[in-house]
Amino acid sequence: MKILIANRGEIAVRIMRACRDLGYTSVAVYSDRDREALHTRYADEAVYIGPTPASQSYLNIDAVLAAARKTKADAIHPGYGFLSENPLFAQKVEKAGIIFIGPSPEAIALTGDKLEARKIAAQAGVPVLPGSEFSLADGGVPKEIGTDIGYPVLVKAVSGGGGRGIRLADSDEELLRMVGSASQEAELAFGDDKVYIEKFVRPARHIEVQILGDGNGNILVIGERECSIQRRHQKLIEEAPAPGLDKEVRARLYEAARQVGLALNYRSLGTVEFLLAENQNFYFIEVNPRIQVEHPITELVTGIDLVNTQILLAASGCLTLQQDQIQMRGTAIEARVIAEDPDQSFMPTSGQVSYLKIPSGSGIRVDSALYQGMYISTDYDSLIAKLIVWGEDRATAIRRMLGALEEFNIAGLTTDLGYLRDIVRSEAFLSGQVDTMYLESFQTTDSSEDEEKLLKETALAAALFIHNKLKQTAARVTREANQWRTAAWREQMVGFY
Amino acid sequence: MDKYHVTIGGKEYQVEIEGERVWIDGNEVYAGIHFLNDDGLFMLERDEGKREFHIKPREEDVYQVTTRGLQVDTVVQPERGHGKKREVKKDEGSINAPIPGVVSQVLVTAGDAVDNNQVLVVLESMKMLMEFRAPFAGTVEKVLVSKGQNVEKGDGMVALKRTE
Repeated sequence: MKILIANRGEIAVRIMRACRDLGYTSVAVYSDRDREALHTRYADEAVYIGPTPASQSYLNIDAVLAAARKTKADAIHPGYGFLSENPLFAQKVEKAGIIFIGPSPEAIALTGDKLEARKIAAQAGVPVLPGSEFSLADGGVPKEIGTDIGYPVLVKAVSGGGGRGIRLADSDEELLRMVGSASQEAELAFGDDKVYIEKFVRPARHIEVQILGDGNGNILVIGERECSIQRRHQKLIEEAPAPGLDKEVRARLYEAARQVGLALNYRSLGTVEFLLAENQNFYFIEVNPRIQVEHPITELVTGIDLVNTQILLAASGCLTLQQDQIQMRGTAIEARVIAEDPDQSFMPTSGQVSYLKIPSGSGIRVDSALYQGMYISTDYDSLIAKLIVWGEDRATAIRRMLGALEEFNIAGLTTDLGYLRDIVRSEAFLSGQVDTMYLESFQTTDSSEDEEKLLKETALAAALFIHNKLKQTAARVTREANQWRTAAWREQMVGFY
Repeated sequence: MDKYHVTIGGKEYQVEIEGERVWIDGNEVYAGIHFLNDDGLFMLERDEGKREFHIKPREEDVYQVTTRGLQVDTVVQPERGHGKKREVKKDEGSINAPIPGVVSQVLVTAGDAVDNNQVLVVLESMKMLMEFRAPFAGTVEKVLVSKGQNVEKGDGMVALKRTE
């Protein structure tokens, strides 16, 4: 079996590892920028598919299909992002007689239309948030709609994903403005400017349930993940299981996720996202029809390799796993290392990785496509590594995470590593009391006594380093200036040997 | 004796070195360094132990220093000539594009009074809209871009003057 991975970065490498596990051949595709990328080198075969901009390479359906035909690939794994949620791509792959490792094109289309997905969930008896049952065209916001639902409301892109095209509005006036800006961003990101509005629940936790279906009416639930640590709807830290989640609520969440999966006759891996309000009521948000960035935490607590399972299911068509074999043990936490500067409102950063130290040890896993000397550009997603830890209990997992974050060093560009550490050691995170708005008001704590000491050491180290370098340079200049004299002196000495 | 002014964040340190002897802020300490490679990796050796550091030049006198649990931009200025400290120029009122993009919206004009955190410019880059906000309350001195304009990394977009 030969599998083409229509992706790049850490997830491409992750999927190639699964191929290797299973004894399958992997094929990478790459753009100009990624000629030397790790995924290109890691695969058994690699095919060039176009220029750096994703629209001309990783999003180019024809180029990806041509690569699959050229290498005679039996299956295509889309990873996350790029073409993974494009129903047309899935359809074309299947039409070409190639296995698409993911849901059916129909299920992708249904879940991609967020309004349609809401309807399906509601019909399946799963609670959805009050909101518009129709999409709003740009500028055409029905009067009173905001007041009817009750402010604050969220404006969301109908074809949205990845936190893009989402805006918060507190008043009629703001709603008009936000509908404009959300639909503009949606048009840019998804080529579809349609938006809808939904009541904004605050405080609320973001909890998602992993499902796996065989497309024949069998749906397995593989635990939940807490993803409330988000910045502008982009997840930064995820945890499994959700800390302090009531047993009965968990059971109801699992059942709701199962019902959504059944309603879609779901095939492959998927994630059903929910908002859990303070009163323990929960609401369906959307289905992510693909492998999720944060899938490793589920793997660590369940011991199930999700990607292997997904590939085997696609190859054989039947599930070998049973619901009662799935159990969670301990706690797993993932922290996303991104090339963004927390001190500059999370602007993307770029640069050459001049020094790299990746943590390791018991219960520590790092999924990345980083290597020393790599140039990180702003051409693609800013996620550069995922640090995932497991501990037999939550406290152990947190201590391990803090140690590993300290050990993780990437020089040459600015990352969020320090910011992640500040979050993990914050009071609210330690006690498991965070909601989706936590980071909006999060302030990094003032430096402690230990940090003061470390800063002083750093000042000392830097000064000594520069001092030594200056002395070395001075010595070299003197040496070079004296060279001709030395040479003349040596010549004179030759006679004595 | 060689003197170095070191600045990390808002904190300043004075390091003096003479032969094997080292002082920080006037207190003598035992400290030495040992190079681990030619690429900026070295160890700081103290009484209590050794710590690994990596240093990488960013611009004149500014270095990115990385060690376990810390990554900071560090300014190291050797005392030059008459011991006069060179001022690190910092143009705090200039709002620059951090990456290339297209100006999607300009929300202020020259002479406008702006509040801290007020949105000044919206930039479109990597299919995202990024808002650039005023880092402090002040007056708009100049608007250097217009809607639809392409900007390169580092291009100034708005010049602000802090309210005294």
